[in-house]
Amino acid sequence: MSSLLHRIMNDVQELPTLPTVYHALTEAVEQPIILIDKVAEVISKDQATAFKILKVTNSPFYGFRGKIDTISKAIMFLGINEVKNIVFSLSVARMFSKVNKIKGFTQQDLWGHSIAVGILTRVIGQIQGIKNVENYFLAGIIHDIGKLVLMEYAHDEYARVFEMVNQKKCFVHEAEKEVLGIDHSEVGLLLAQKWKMPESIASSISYHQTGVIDGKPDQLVGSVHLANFISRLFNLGFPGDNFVPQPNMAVWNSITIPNKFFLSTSNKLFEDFDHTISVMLYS
Amino acid sequence: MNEKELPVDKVEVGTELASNVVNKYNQVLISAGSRFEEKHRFLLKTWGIKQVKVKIESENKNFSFSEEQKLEALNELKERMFWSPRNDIETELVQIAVERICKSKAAIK
Repeated sequence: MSSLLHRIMNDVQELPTLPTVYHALTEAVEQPIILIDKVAEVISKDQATAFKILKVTNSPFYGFRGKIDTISKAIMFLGINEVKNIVFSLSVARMFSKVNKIKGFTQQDLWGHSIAVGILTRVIGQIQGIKNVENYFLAGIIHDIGKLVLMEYAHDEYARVFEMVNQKKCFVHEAEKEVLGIDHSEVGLLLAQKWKMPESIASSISYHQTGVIDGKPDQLVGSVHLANFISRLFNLGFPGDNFVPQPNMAVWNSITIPNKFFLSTSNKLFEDFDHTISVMLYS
Repeated sequence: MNEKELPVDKVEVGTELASNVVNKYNQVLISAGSRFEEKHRFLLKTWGIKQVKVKIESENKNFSFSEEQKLEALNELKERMFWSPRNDIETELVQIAVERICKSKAAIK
């Protein structure tokens, strides 16, 4: 194991745990009977989170457009899992909000890319007829979390990675391997394990670059892989390098997207992206 | 973006609804602006709703840019993308990316 990975493993153990509100929601979801008012009360105690949930819920992304004025309604309309995932995304964004920027790459850039991948992964999940697409958004939004950890815990070494990206015009993960001996998917996996994220989410972090798990297609991992490719192609956010990898053909063979789907929905997609960015990052 | 009435069975998942879908009591079942989901098909059938109004983007919108503009945008894209499309969906996505570059260049001018 590389010494850097060993050091990061130790540092990750020191990372703050997710906030109380997230754990309270996790417990609530595991109860046989979910009491919406009780859950709403827990969320409402964290006013900043409650406010943002209402803003996100009323965004065009969900289509309710200003009709959701209480947390209870947000839970009823979106479902507790979706609300939980929004709380999670907001908590992680807040947790890493003080990360020092690296020349040519900021955490704001990365969140833009992550939100785009979250939205696109969800859309691809919907096209596949997945019933619970909440996890698709979460898997997309968290797939590059390892980059944030590296920015925070290996700042100087990570700055060298971006020097190489600019000089060699290569992908971030290639420069990471060369400079650090590890890449962000390995680091992200450590955090997912520390936070006890579901196996499917951990796999999306580990395998989003190839889109398959040990050569076998997986619907969620494949969706994140395609979403990552599309967000780079459309220049939605900035993942640290400008390049567009060609998707794995095995993923195209396992995920069907109807012809002209994106031609007929791309404007809505760009609108959703702009709005979600403004709500999650700037309000 | 144009609007069009479509039979519920023909609406593709992900399509944006152009107007509220209401039941016979005028209660909103799905709001305008929502994306159509598979579960909506069952909901609408339950209420006996056969058609909905959806937003359709013009497939010819790319023609608002000249061939020269599109070629310039494609060349710009090729500085970041070192492969050629292998299937219809990759071709479609590259076409949208080219259009997006054309639009952003037009906005700057």
